[in-house]
Amino acid sequence: MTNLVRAELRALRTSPTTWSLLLAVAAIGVLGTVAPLIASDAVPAHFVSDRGIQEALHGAAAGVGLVIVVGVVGMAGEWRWGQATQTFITTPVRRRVVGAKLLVHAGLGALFGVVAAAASLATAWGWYRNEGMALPLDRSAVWLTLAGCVLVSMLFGPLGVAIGALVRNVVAAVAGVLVWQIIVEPTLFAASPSVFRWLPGIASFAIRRQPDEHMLGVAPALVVVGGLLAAMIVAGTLAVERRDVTA
Amino acid sequence: MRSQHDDLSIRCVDLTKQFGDHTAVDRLTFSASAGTVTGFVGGNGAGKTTTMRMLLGLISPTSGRALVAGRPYVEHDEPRRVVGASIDGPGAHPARSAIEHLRIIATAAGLPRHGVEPVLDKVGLTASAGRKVGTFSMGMLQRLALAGALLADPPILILDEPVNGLDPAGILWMRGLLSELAGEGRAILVSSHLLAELAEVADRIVVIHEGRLLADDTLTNLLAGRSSSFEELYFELVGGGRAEGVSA
Repeated sequence: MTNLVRAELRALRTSPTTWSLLLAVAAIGVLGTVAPLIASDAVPAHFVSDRGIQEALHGAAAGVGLVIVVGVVGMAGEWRWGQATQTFITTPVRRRVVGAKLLVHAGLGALFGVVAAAASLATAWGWYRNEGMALPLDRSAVWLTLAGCVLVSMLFGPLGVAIGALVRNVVAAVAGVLVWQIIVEPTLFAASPSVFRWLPGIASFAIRRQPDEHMLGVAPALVVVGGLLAAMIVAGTLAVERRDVTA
Repeated sequence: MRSQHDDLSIRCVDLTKQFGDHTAVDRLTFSASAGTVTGFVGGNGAGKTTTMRMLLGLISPTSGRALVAGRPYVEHDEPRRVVGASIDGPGAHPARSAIEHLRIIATAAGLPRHGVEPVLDKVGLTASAGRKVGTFSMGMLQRLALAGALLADPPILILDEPVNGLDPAGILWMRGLLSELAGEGRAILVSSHLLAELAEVADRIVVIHEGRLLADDTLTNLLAGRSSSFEELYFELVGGGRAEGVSA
């Protein structure tokens, strides 16, 4: 397993997709933080309240959905250029390959989450300072919001791998993930928040403490996202083990 | 070449693969032994690649057995050290360099990194080691695929159409390399559409058509008592008409 993890890390390190998406996640973290701050017309006292802090920092995780894309590309990409043949010739016990990818993409998700959180924190700190305020770094709301960003990112990395294990077509898998995240879930949630707050993407908003009274609590949200991840891992691993590698 | 295995052969026993209603490989039985190049001949869709993929554990047989070094491929602890395979190209990301592609394989297989440069040298790709695979010609891709197969210096080689895309000099080089590798005692199973080329390198010929075995013998025995060439014999075996994708 150690060799597989090292090989996967090497493959990720030498893939331009990894670095361009990391840059995108950082950029979205900055924009997701500064845009609502600039647009807000709240009084200064609001910005140092817990809700104000959450409003300022929850955008850190706006880009971590892209971590799913990295995971999808990492797994489904095996079939894109015929790498699957070489991968499974090297490691015929395929669940080991999936296991190594899950592990590596959880770690990569943590890295993406930390970068997004750092970008958001630096942006919010600069904006507060520019407005003559201080971001209250001693408040748990700051760190819980950023920790939520890192946690969601850590869960999304392996989720992408599991999706890629189920759907071998990279373009279809990535398009499906993005449409689901950007259009389907927000639309359904807008239509009926109390029902569709149980959707996994919306539940992940709760983990990263998006300020909204309709959100689930963090614990049930973790159960929803963690449960989906576990189910997808089992289904994805079985699919990879059972399907013939014909190309 | 180093091996701890006694049985250095490739063996298919009543091997069958069905995809839905279509029988791709039908009760195929043959073997390829150490120190010989076994030519695996058949037209497009004859079942050659499916058979090779079953030998490599990539496709599950519907019934029968596909064995390398006496066991199914998936039962080998370090399969790359037992079998080297080139099938459907190198399987490399086009944005990655040749050397990086091989280093990733070596890392995953637990092979030493310093084994990569010599194998690139062996296939004549040293000068292109740092080039992105996406810029490679078909012939260079074939050489890179072969480099991957030879990375662990395995005693068994399974090569699917290794001369496809090679220029005449490359074909000559491949012919010499296969003879050299078999001379070192390896069991080599090599498929090709190029009958004349296979006749040059193969010690033994296995002919399949529509998934079924038509012939399995040395070329000398197959042609014994005939005035016909291997090409003519092949088309006789497959039923007169020219099999699709096979050329003299």
